[in-house]
Amino acid sequence: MSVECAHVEEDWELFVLGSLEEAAQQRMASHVRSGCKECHSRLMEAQIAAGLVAMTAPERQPSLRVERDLLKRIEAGESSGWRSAASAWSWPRFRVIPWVVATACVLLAGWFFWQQRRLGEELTKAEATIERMRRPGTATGQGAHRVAEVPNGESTDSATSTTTSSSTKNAITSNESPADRRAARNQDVDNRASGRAEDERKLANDGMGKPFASTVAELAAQVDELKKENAGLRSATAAAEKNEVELQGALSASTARAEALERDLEAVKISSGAANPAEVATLNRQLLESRAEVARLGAATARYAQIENLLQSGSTQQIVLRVVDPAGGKAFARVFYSPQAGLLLLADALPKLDHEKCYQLWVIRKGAPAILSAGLLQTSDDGHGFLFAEPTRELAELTGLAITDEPKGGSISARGHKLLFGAR
Amino acid sequence: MSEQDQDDVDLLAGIARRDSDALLSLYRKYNGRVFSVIYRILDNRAAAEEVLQDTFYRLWDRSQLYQPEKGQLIWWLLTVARNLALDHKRKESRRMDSNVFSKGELWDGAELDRLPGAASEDDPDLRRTIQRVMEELPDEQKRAIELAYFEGLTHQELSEKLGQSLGTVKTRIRLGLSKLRKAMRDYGKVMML
Repeated sequence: MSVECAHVEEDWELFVLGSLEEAAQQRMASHVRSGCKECHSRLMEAQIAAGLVAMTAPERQPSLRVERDLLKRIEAGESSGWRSAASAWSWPRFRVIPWVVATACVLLAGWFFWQQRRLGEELTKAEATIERMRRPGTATGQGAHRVAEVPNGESTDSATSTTTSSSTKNAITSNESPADRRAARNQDVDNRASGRAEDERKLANDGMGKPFASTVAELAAQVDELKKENAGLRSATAAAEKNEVELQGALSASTARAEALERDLEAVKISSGAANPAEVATLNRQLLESRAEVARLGAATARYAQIENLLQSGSTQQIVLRVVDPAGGKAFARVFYSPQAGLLLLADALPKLDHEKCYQLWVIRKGAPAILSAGLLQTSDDGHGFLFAEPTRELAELTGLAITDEPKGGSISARGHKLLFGAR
Repeated sequence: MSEQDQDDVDLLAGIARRDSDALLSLYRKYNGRVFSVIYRILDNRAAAEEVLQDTFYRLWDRSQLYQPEKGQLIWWLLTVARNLALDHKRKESRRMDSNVFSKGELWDGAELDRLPGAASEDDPDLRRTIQRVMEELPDEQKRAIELAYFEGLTHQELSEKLGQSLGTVKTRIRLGLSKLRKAMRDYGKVMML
């Protein structure tokens, strides 16, 4: 190390962090540019260490809007001064504009005042209508108990969504079959969609059509989105119910078989007095197998009941997971979760993994540890994936979900490629 | 050069040909890690997303500034992202700063390709190892490093904020970073066993 280097020997960490005062920073930069090889390795080490600090930042994901805006920006070919519309007005070159705007505002204030009075009533009416249209709840049935106006203009003390949901829940608790319950829920969904459509028509026809055309379009988009969500939920619920019905049937049959075997066993014992040891042993074995089958089917039925409960829970939220790595192909997954009712993942178009790998779901949360395994996906050859996880308090802190490919049997901590990701 | 680095270089060549799909591929590959750092610095989603977009637009607009032989693309992106985020923060607080590091000159003169072969920023295990070591640092070292890296404070400001002498602040940062570096080296040895 040269004499010249002595004064900078201990400051490389601060230098790479940009934490030196301006003069010292310039002096060291100048020294670097001089090509001093003796300091080069020191600088390099400090820079790598500083870079490692970046790895300690908690994991976050940007919204999809950034990607879209980035592409728009590239396509527009705008220069480096581009900013989003929200911040554009803070540019220096726009700082004179507020004066112009202020002057214009003064001139327009009177006109606006007059207009405001005229539009006030219409606006209040429109807001009330829009609010009413928002209330019917979400696809997961998150309807708060509010005073809502039904489409014909009358008021009722039970929200439209909760009214229909209540009828669905009543059906569940009654002796109606799952098919009846599904029909009731489907009718509920259809009623909500058609109720919104009716509201849209009224909004468009009540004399406010043109000024509120964009609002109507936005609401129409919301209706479409709601229909899509409902379709997803309906499909998931129907699948869960179908499996539950099949399992109930199998469980009943197995239970009946076990009971019959127990009766046969008793009969053999009574009729043979000393009993036929071989026949008793066979019946005992069959009885044990039957009991194991009953236990297995009982557990599976309980699991499907849990899934159905999750899908109908008022607190259930949805997260869509999308591919973030080309290896994920065209895979898509939807997760329904509730800290009180558990987590259900349904995936589609999952690429087939080799025999030594499996798909694993990870919960990303605010607390520590930040990444927790939610379990391994059950997959089928046609690319479907399924996972149900028991309710845990960690789900309340969930901020995102990721699916990775891991070695067969799964990993304690995520090691594989992050293939799909979704954030709240 | 690893296969992943070669992929990045190929995509950069695509960017040079003005292929927006190449940029999109790099964005999808690295946006999470870059955004995490920006968000940690700004603690504001809207501002962080704006800076994230600026970072990748800079890659699109000035990709020639990145020199693959000097190190992995992710380190360059993180350097650019940090500088833009800190600039944003300083502008917000009406404090202009223009140290040479933020102008990227340091990158031109430094080599960042000496990470152990098996270790890279892309490695989730290394990430967790570094996070663990950071958590285990004495509070005063951890705080000094975080304030310097994520808050962009000068050593004078660090000294005032922490109520310690300049020498103490320097020592704490140096010791803390030294431990991170050692953890990375040890990890590299384990990975290569």
